[in-house]
Amino acid sequence: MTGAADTRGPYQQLASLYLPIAAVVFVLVALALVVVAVRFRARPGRTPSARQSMAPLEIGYAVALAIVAALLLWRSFEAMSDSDPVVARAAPAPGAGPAGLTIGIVASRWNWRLAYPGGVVQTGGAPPRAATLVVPAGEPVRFRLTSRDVVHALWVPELRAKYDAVPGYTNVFDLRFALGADYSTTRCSEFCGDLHDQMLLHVDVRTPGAFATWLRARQGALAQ
Amino acid sequence: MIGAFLSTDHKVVAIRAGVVAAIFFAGAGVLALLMRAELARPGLQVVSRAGYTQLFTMHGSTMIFLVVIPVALAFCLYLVPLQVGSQQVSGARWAFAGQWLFALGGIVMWTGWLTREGAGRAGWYAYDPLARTPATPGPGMDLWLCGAIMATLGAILVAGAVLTTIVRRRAPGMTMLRLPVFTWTALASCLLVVFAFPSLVVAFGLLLAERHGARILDPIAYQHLFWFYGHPAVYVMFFPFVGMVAETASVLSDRRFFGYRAFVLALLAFTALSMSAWAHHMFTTGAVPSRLFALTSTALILPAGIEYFDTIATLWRGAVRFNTAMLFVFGFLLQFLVGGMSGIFVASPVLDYHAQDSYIVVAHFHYTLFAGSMFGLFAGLYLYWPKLTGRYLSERLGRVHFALLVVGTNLTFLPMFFLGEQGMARRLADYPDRAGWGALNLASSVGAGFIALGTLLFCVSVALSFLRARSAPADAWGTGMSLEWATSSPPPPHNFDALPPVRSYAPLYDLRHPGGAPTAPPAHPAGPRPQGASA
Repeated sequence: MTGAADTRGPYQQLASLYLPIAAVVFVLVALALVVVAVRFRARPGRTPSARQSMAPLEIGYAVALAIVAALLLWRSFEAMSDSDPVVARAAPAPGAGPAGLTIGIVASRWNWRLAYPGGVVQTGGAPPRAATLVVPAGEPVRFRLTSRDVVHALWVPELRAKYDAVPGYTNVFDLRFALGADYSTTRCSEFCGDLHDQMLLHVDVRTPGAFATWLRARQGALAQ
Repeated sequence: MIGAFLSTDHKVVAIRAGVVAAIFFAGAGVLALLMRAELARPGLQVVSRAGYTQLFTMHGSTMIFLVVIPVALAFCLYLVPLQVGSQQVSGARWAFAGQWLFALGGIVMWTGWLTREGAGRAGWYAYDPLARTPATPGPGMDLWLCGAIMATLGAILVAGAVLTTIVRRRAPGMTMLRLPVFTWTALASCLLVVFAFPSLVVAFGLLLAERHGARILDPIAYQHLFWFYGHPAVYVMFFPFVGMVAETASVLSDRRFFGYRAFVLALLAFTALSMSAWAHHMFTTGAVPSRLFALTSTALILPAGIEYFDTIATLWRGAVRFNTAMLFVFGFLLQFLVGGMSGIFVASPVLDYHAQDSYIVVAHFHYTLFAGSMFGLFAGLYLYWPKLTGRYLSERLGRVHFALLVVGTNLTFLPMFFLGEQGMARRLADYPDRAGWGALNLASSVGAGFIALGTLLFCVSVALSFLRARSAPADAWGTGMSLEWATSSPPPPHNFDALPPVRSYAPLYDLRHPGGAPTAPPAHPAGPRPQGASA
């Protein structure tokens, strides 16, 4: 499942480690409290214990906690090196993405400006008329994201991925889109002013062939 | 009457801070209800977009700067001198000034509503450059920044007074390792206030300068300054409530707090780690070393797990009385667990890339702050109300209050996890009418109504308590552990007429169990007890 520019896979794998552990811990604490409520309730004749520490148990428990924390961290770091999605530099080295396609995105209140190779630009109208991101399916696409005014963030919930657009900084990352997936919740997720809720981004995924045709046509239209 | 406003008695100052915070709590609650009314259905029905922006900014910032932090510190201010056996707080006039700075800061912040552009509306973390004049014009935003700075300076003053009291005003025999558990949590919180809060004063001061012509701020540098304050602030809003829960568990199960030394050690580790975890709020910027901050944040499992263990082990083999205060302890332990574990979830960068700024995070911090800290506060209020006033709160109303809050809290905040997972961002005045989103939001809005009802009922219960006679004895529950239960309820202005000897962290327990009380420092295994203790 995982591979270059995969963000959804690492998220799902990590979540399927974290959530069951959390569920087990919750059940254990709840059980302990049920026992307290049933067995250790104050009643005539019940004398509370005077014991105030139990060093071996406490140390053993702390070690168990440390092991859980280490496991979570190890798997978290592994998931990061799988996709390593956020690679921001104030001035990133120029260079094409893994598949050659780089799309520059400039966020501003309250829309996106998408720059393709050859001077092709996609913009939207007044909100909520969002810009449309046209991408090829199945190929890693490199993005260079920044902002012209305040801090925004590009969130693609379907890909479990989010990157901040900070003025003066360029966030560089790779994403891979799939045909038939639902990208309709893609939007700005960092509060950026009154019309923040209308700062959406349409995503139009095409087959690599159809994408190449579209890009050539747009480039051709510019050349004329 | 004037004395109620001008007294420097730490107890009066603390109660005054509590009353002011309660007023702002009511205000922030009304703002929350307006937000939930707007979000009950897709579309804009109740407020405008600009109005909604002010609602969530003022709700969040009021709750943090003017309610939870002041209440946490007010509890420290009230209880710490009593717990360490002091007649007065050290630096009583600092505390006095700090309390009035809370109140004045709040008033300044809220006068923003009177300006044409409205009150603060850049979110509670007021990111640069959004909070600069071009994006957020108007004096309302300046008033908001000034008010937050004043309240934060107030917090620093109060924390300084509490810290100095712990260091310099302890009763004879009270070594640091005989401090009551709550006092340790107060110490940890106040350390955080003193070391982390100046960073907010600097950040907001720079923003103010930026708004009036200076060109000094960088967006990422601002975020570091802000979160260097903002993350420790979360623990200032948590530790004292952990302390209240610990005291309640110990007193109402008639057990010395279990694992005292481990708890103290864990608390100090907690304090250190919480000051080194701030940039996990910035994973999505890509401009921070994510692995380092994932490490410090995930390591919080250790101290948090130890504090849970010790609290539950205190109840274990106790004689647990299930009154309202104990119910809130149980509510805290289960609900904060959801908030705490979802915090570990978002401490992992890959998981945070999805959760950050989504409703997952809104659910997470409301489970920590409301389902956690507020429930801890209510445990503490039910436990200490007789100490504060000499009167008990109604147990019957208390149970209904608890039930309403449990239903309301979970109905309000649980759906938010699912909304966030499905892609709903926070701070949206309106949301798309996707399958399930309307129903989940409606459930959340209904839940907010339950919380409001529960809170109103608590107000009634408080009012009714003043109709009752002052009947609480010094040791209001008969199983007090530390010195605050050795003086009358409420305590006299000078706190104590006489002090019992302090030979452990539970001197009143020692008095009740003569002969069995350890004279050595605590946390050594207790010797055999006359009661035939088995552990």
